Amino acid sequence: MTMATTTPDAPIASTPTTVVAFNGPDTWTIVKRVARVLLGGLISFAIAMLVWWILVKLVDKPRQTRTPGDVFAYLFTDKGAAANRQEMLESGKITLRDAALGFFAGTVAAVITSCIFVLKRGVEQATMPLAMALRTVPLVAITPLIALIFGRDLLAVTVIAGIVTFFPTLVNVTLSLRSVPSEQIDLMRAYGANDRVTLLKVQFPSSLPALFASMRIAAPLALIGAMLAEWLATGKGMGYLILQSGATFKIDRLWAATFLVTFASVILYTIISAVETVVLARYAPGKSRKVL
Amino acid sequence: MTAVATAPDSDRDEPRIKRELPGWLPGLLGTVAIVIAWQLIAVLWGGEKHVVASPTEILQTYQKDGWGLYWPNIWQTVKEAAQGWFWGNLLAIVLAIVFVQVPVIERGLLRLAVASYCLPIIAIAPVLVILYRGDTSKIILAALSVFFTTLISMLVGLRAADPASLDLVHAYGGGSWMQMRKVRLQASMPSLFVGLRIAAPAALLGAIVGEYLGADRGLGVVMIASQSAINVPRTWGIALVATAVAGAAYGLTALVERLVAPWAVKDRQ
Repeated sequence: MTMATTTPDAPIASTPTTVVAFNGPDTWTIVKRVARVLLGGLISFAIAMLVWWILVKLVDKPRQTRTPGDVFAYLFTDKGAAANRQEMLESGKITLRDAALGFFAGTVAAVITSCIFVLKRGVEQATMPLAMALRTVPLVAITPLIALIFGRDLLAVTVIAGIVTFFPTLVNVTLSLRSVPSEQIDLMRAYGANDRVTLLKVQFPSSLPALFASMRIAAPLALIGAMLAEWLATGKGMGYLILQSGATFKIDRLWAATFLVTFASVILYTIISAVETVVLARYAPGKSRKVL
Repeated sequence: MTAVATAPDSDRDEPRIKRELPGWLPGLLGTVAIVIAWQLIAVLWGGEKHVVASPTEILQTYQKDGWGLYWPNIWQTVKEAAQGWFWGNLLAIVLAIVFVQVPVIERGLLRLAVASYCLPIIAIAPVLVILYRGDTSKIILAALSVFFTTLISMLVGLRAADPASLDLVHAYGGGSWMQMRKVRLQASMPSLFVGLRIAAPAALLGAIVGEYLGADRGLGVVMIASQSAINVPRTWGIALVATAVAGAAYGLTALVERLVAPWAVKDRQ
C-alpha cells in the first residue's frame, strides 16, 4: 500500500540512497524511533523539573515561588487536593477544546489553500506575498482586535488559535508542494496525469514532512493563542484561571496551572513529533528530522 | 531583481505578455484588491455592528489622535522588545556555539530548549509579573520568545559548514575553536539571519503579551484600553501600528543582513 503511493518518486530519484530506502524501514525500526522520541520526552520532563527546582532556589522568593514538590502537594496530597484537581480539569478541558478546534481548523484550511495555490498559480501570486507578510506578524499580539470583531464566545478563541496555525502552515506547505523535483512532475505528465492527480499522488505525499513540521511548531502557539483569547475574550478556561490567580495572588493555583499547561504543551509537541517520525520514515526515508 | 529571479519558473506555458510582468506586480495588485475589499466590507458591515474599521476611518483616527498618542507607546514596547531580543539572541548564539564545541552538553540542554519553546508565555507571564516589577518581566518574555528559533537556526548554520574547509583547517593544525572561528561562524550566517528575522516580530509579541498583564505604557496597554472602551477604529489602528513595527523590524534585519553578510543572501537563493 505504501509502495503504491511512493512509486512515482522512487524510480526516478536521482540519489541512490532514496532508491535503497524504497522498500521503507520495517515496523520495528519505526517502533524504535518512536520509542526514542518518547524517551526523549521523559528525559526533558526530568531535566525541566530539576531546572525549575534550581531556579526557584536561586530566585529565593519563597512567598511568590513554588517548587515542583509544592505543586504536586497542591494537586495530590493537600487537604483540598481533589477539589483543586477538579478545578484544573474543568478549565483544562475548555482550553484543550479551544486550542484543538482552532488548530485543526487552521491546519485543514491551510492545506486546502495550499492545494488551491498550487493548482491556480494566479491566486498564489496575488495573495502569497500578503500571507508571507502575515506569517511574520505577531498575530497573537492583536488578540484584542479579534475579540472585538468575533465577539466574546468560542468563535473568537477558535479564530485566534486558527490563524496562528494557518499562516506558517500555509507558507511551509505551499513551498514544499512547489519544491517537488521537476522530473517527478514531468513523469506524471508523460503518463498523462492531470494537475490534480499529480498533486494528490506526488506533491501531497512529499509535502507531508513539511506539514508535520509546521504542525509541531504550531501546536504550542495554538495553545498560547487560545489561552490569550480566553483571558481577553471569553473569561473561561486555563488562560483566565492563570491570569485571575496571578491577579488575586493565589500562588499555589497559579503555579499548578502554569505547570499543567506547560506539561500539556510538551505532551502535544511530543505526540506530534512521534507521528512525524513515522511519517518521515514512510515518505522521506532519506532525511531524518534535523531540527528538534 | 526579484523579477529576474521569478520570471523563469512562471513561464512554463503561459502567453508571452505575462512573462514581461514584473514579479512583484501580482502581489501588489492582490494587496490593493484586499484593501479595497476591506473598505467595502467595513462600509457594508459597519452599519449594524461596526466592528470592522475601514482603512480610511483608521487614517482619520491617526490624524485625530496625533503622533503624541502613538509614539511614547511604540517607543516603550520597542525598548522592551529590543532588550529581550538582544539577551535572548545572545544566549541562543552562545549556547549554539557551546553545543557544537561540546556535544555532551547539547544532549541534555537541547531538550530543555524544546521545553522552553513549549512553555506558553501567557502562562508564565503572571508568574514573572509577580516576581519582577517594571520592564524586567516584559524583557524576559521577549527574550523567551526569540530564544528557541535563534538557537535552532544557529545550530543548523554551524553544522552546515563545508566539511572540506573544516578538514583544511584541521590539516594545518587548527583545533575545533580555530574551525569555529575561521569556518563555522561564517557558514552559520545564512541560517542565523533566517532565525533573526523571525526573532524580531517574536520579541515584539513577547513584550506586548507582557504589557497586557499590566504596565503604564506600551502598545499592549493602549490596545487593551481601546478594546475595552470599544473604540473600534483606534483598536484597529494600534493593531496596524503593531503589525507595521513588526514588519519594520523584520525588514531591518533583512537590510542588516545585506550589509553585514551579503553573501548569505546569495547563498540562500
